Amino acid sequence: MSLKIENLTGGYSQTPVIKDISFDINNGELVGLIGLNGAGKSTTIKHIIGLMDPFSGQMTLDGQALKENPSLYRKKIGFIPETPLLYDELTLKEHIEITAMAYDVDVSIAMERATPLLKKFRLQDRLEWFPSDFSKGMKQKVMILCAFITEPSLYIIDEPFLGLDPIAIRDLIQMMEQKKKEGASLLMSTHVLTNAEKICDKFIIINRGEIYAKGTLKDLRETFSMPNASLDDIYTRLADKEGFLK
Amino acid sequence: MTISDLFKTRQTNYYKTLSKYLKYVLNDHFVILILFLGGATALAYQNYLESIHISAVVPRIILFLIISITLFSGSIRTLIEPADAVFLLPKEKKFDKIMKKNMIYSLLFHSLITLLVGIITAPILIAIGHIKGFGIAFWLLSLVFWKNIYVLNSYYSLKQHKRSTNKNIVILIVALFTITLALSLFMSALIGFLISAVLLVLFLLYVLKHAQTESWNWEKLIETEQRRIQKIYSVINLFVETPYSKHKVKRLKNLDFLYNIKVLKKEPEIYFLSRMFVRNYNFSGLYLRLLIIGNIAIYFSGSWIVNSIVSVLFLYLIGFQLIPLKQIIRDSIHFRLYPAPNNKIKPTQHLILLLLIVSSLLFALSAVSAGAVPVIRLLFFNSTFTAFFIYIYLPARLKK
Repeated sequence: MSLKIENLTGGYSQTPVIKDISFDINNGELVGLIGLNGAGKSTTIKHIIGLMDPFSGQMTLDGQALKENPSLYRKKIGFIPETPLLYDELTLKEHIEITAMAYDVDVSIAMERATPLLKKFRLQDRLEWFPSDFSKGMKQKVMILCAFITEPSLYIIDEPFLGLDPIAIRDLIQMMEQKKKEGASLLMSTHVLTNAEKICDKFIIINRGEIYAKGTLKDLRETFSMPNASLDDIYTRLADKEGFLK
Repeated sequence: MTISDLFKTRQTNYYKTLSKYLKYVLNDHFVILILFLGGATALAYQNYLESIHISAVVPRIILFLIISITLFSGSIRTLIEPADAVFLLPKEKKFDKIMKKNMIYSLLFHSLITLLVGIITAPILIAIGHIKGFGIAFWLLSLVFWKNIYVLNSYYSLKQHKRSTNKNIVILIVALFTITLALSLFMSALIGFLISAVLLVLFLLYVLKHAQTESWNWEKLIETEQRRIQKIYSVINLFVETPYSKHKVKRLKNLDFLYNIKVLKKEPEIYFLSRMFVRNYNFSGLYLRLLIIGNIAIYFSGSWIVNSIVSVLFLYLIGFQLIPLKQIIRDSIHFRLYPAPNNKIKPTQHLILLLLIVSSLLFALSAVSAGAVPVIRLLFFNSTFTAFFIYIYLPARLKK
């Protein structure tokens, strides 16, 4: 069991944004977090990575709670945010070094792990560049790279496909599948449903801060009583139910 | 909402924001420094005036430079925002009224500043026996006239679509100004006054004739205003972090050896802070400026009491202005996610300590012309203060 979330309730002020959420992600499992804008996906992620404190509920990663040993808990997570967050004053190479330093990875090992990824993303000649010189897609690639070189046991990827070119999307999917094979767990939030349907083992559909449905595509089809439906159809049904498609 | 309402709100907000930041700029320490430096400058100025010989040439040259800088700086406050080029374009005629108001405001504002500089510098001309009585009035008026020509041109240039025309006008103005000012300073203030009055009238007629018909050069309007705002904030940023600091980061590869200093322990916070400090001009520029001013002040001052006060004061200023480094670590999402416990006090303390040690040494060395004893004395004061600042004042301050 990698990530286990039980009855998690949390939000920004007194009113909870996410209510009584429970789900697990097993080792070697890729789970898609799906929901309309403002459904609570990002808030859920913020709670998991420890940027927000839950009002109530339990969260453990490989049996370890954040509060028990924050350092160990955090080391197990690789987070790729929706909007790339980079240091304006550090070069690409220095981003790799500071990540290595923060996650206790030897700098030479980190560079070794980074080399094939740099090549894949065509960034190997740009090690001396500053983030301001990068396009949005390139910045996203740097974020991906920094998360992958720490080799965490849980990858949390918020909207990974935005801004990436088709080749990079293909490469990222390959990388995620590789990590899955190696036994890592992955949680991905996305609106690109065709990709999600192709690669995710399970889905969690969040609506208004609550889990609306979860399970494999087969489970979802049963919940919505829509045999042979695609994830896109199910999503549309959800929107319809919410009154967005009148 | 009419356009004039829009600009009224904008103006209110502009002054509100400025006064908010000014409160930080004019903090107690800075006011003390200004009073101190102001007093010292006034004293030096008085001594200088007493030492001037009648008919000396050097004071005129100094005056020429000061007046040129005063007259050819500053721009029109328009409060234009980039989005205006999209949204206000259909209302260009109504916008004319706003711009006229802006022009009048700028004429008054800049005239006052010029008058102030003129009054402060007039004693130089009196000391060399160049002007007296009404001559002072003629001198001051010709300065104000020139400033008005400059502001009118800044206004008109915003309607100018051809870069070359604008450039020619500026060259003409600078050339005529140089001749007139030289005449005022070396021959007679009255002749200078008459020429500037005639030129102002001629230029006014020219601008009025052309500025009525032409449309605004929006790109230039936006660019000029952005540059003006940027200049204001680059000063404010020396004192407080504002969201408007847009200094481009420079790689400065030659300085990479600095990060290998052993004292900078290998942890993410100090790894980041040291590089950020060097490459972000907001911080390194501030440090360098205070360092240079402090060194010059100590080098030229003969009194050891003044030296010690200046040295410790500048050490304090450097240290104090670098405290926001902690905020950068605190506000960074990365450092909240990194596994190691978030430590924002120690790294900031380390870095400021290192910078203060370097400053202490340099300040002490600046007194070397006075002999070895002043250097050692200064070194003693500096290190005592640095120790107090880093180990007693800073921890308490950073915990807040």
